[in-house]
Amino acid sequence: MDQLLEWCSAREQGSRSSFRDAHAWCTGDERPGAANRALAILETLGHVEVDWAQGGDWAVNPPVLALLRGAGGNALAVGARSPALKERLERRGSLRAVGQRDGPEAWYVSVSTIEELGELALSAGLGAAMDVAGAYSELLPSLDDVVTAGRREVGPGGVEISRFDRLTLRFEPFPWPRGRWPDGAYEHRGAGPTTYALRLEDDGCSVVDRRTAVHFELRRLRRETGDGQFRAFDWSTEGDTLLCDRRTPLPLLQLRTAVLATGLLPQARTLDAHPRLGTRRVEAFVGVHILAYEAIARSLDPPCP
Amino acid sequence: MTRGAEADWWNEAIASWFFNEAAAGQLVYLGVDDQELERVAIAAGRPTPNPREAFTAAMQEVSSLNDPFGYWWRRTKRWEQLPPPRPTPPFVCILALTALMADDATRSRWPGLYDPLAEALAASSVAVRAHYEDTVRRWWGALNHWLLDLDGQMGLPTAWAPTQGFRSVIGHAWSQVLVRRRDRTHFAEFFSTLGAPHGPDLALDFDRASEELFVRWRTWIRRGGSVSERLRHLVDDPAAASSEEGRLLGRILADELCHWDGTTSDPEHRPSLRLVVVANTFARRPLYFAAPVPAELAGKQVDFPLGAVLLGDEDDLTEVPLLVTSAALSSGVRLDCSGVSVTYAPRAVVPMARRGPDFWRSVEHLQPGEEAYALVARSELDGFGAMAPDATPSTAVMDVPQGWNLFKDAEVASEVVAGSAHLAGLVPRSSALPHLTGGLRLGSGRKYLAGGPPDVVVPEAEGITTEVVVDGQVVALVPAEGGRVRLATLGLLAGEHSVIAGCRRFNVTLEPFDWWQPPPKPAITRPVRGAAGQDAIVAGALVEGITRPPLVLVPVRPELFVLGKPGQCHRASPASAPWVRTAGLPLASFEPLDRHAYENGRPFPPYWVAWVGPTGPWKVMACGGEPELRPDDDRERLDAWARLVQSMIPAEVVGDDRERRWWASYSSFASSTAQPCRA
Repeated sequence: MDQLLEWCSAREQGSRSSFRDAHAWCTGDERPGAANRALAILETLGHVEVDWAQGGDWAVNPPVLALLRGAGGNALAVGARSPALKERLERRGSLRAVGQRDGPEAWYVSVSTIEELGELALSAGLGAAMDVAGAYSELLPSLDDVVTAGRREVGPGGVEISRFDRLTLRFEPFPWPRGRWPDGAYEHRGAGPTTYALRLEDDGCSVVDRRTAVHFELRRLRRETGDGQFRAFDWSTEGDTLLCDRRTPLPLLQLRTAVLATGLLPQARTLDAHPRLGTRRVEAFVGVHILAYEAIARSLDPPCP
Repeated sequence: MTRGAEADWWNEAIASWFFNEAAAGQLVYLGVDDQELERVAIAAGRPTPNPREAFTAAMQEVSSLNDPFGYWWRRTKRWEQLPPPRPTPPFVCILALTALMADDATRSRWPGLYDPLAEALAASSVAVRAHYEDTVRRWWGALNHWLLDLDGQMGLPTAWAPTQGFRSVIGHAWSQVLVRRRDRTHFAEFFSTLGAPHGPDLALDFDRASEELFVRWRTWIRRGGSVSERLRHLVDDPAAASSEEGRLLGRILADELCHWDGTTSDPEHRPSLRLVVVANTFARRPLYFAAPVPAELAGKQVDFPLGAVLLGDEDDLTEVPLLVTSAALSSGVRLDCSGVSVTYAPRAVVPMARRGPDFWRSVEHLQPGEEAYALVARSELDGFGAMAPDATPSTAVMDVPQGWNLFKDAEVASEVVAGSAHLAGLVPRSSALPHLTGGLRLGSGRKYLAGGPPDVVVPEAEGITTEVVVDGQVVALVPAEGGRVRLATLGLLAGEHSVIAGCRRFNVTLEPFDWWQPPPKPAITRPVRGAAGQDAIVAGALVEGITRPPLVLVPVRPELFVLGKPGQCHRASPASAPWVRTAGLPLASFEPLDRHAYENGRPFPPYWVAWVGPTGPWKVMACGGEPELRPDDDRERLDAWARLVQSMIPAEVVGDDRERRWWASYSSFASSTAQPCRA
């Protein structure tokens, strides 16, 4: 992944197919979804941005040193990378590279003061930022905003549709409705990219991304059933950890808010009789400040503990 | 009639027939046989019932028993003293006679040339042997030079003889008659299956190409390719690759491939439409024939038996009014439609690759990663089923011809197809010649990131061990079964590297990546709006003179959102849509903006940008349309906003003076320039 990120940085932008080729060459993994997963990981970590809706063109982000909240003066290097940058940061400060199983190394640079961060960034040709996760958390759009922005007069077409199932928490095949569509989240598969649509109470339709559709539907189900049964995530004081059901991952901005608390990808865990999430497989994001969690929770509107 | 007049007439007639302006830039073979002599005589205005007899009689008239080539030797001496550009060489007719004798020898499988030539000239065999090398052999070289001196305007030379061995003296004549026009048509079909580029991109290493091309041609023949009876024995002879004839044919193949223009034409050089079978799995209509339009037929009308069709632009796939019937699939199509050769080559298994969401067309072979349908003749069902276990019968099109079945997911793995001629097209491959694949490519061309050089793929080549040479060092020997050489394991340094794999030569550049350069800041020419939203500050401006488009990205810093470059920002993603709303920009402004112009590298028009964020420096949100413009009375608000933005850049965080200057210039512009107005 490090070599792949370096290539993305050198290339600056490209198509999904070019990324797929490069990924296959770097990893030897030619399975159809493997490259998409890798691209999504780089996106989650803030290194690249991906235009999934329009076919997956991607571009690398400008390099930034982002001071992490509560990390004892550790700043995270996000965005474009090169071996020369690594050398420069090693020369200037104490760079520590932490390997990750599914992602590129997380680069941390220790600084003593904000002034030192600014100087280091300036000398290395980087941008600088503070508390990225906190900044994200202040700006998270609410589900209603996103759904409103995605409203359409006519819903998407497609050959096969699936509906988000409340039991399996997955999209399951669903017969094309005659007449009014039942409220819910739908997956439309056809010749083009798979699209996701929410059928709303007022017979309206909103086309959104998969994760937003899932969390909007979970919220609807929570309100319908009146309890926290469809709660998908929670926060634990143990290590300031955000726990999220693996089947219902967070939307991108919320995901970034959680991941950029540390710059590390979440770890897979199995919960056993958790007070609110029960027994299930989750992803654990450590180091998520309670305020960031509250912002995420506010934007996705789960019941408060 | 003076002595030699007949010989001179034949000389001129043959030269005019073979070497003329119509042959400019093409390989020309002095392939004389009885049919060609007849055409020569007719073209020269003197049809004769027995052209061979007339021709040899004219040759005998100027030849003598002990000095068979003296007549041409004297005339050649005079011709050589002429200043260039010289007229037609006087020895063309005697070279043609040797080619005629070589053709006779090829037909009779008799390897000798001297005796038949002596007999044709009514000369002494001893004298022919004694003088041949100093005369005829030298004149073949002189003919080549003459053609090259004319810059190929009368054709390109092809005469060649090995430097040693039985045919080192007389081989030139064989090189002219070994293959005929129909063979060369077959060669073009063979080249089109190689999947290799044509022209300069081919980068053929000529010295290494002969044997490899011969072997690959032979494999192609064995898998169903076309071959004339003249060459059939070379396919059947296991030692042919190393024989003189095999090497000569390999040389001709290499020569032809180097000059191949990527097209196939019929033997009469008529323009040709080569049909493909097309399936539309969305419309579920029956299979139909279509033809990729060659350049010479673009926009032309062609009359088919069932009606006329107007062909599209070059390379367009135009549907033609011919029914895809069982007979057409099994036996092929060969039509002459208003002077255009229309052909479909029959195959028992027709690979069909996706060329659109629901659009599939038959191809020679699949590319790696391609999804495939296959049209399979009933006789091949058993073999196909065994080799393509993932294939499932498809009802995606109506009325598949009787005796044929359509399958989807029809790719087969390369290792199971060896020896199965009909399934070869279903084996995904980029090229049947050695080629480069993978690597961390930087843009177009053969530039790669240092540390990420491509792999070399050597396809199977019966009986040949292929050398892979990097910068003059042999780094791998790939066995006949083929293989892949990973150049990344060689630790190549940044710079240019020469890679030779079998018959192909590549220049690979490895570029170090030192540093990421941000795109240049756009020039603001006309700020149009400033507004403070609930959590964000928004400004818009008309930007012109973009030398490099902004990247498609949402920046790391969350307060800044970039929605993309023109044409790519036409759909605000869910993540960014709220910001559009916060910014007060109409969603309609995210309609496509001349994406076509952008993708084709043309300058795209000025476009609107908006910056969003409470604290951040530059990031661009590109909009496709004009956001709402404010009249002049917004000036004060704009100025106030600009001051606010500048004041909010936290000096303790942002150390980049360029950005600060940029904002300063924005601010000063906003407060000092002409009134914003509608474009």
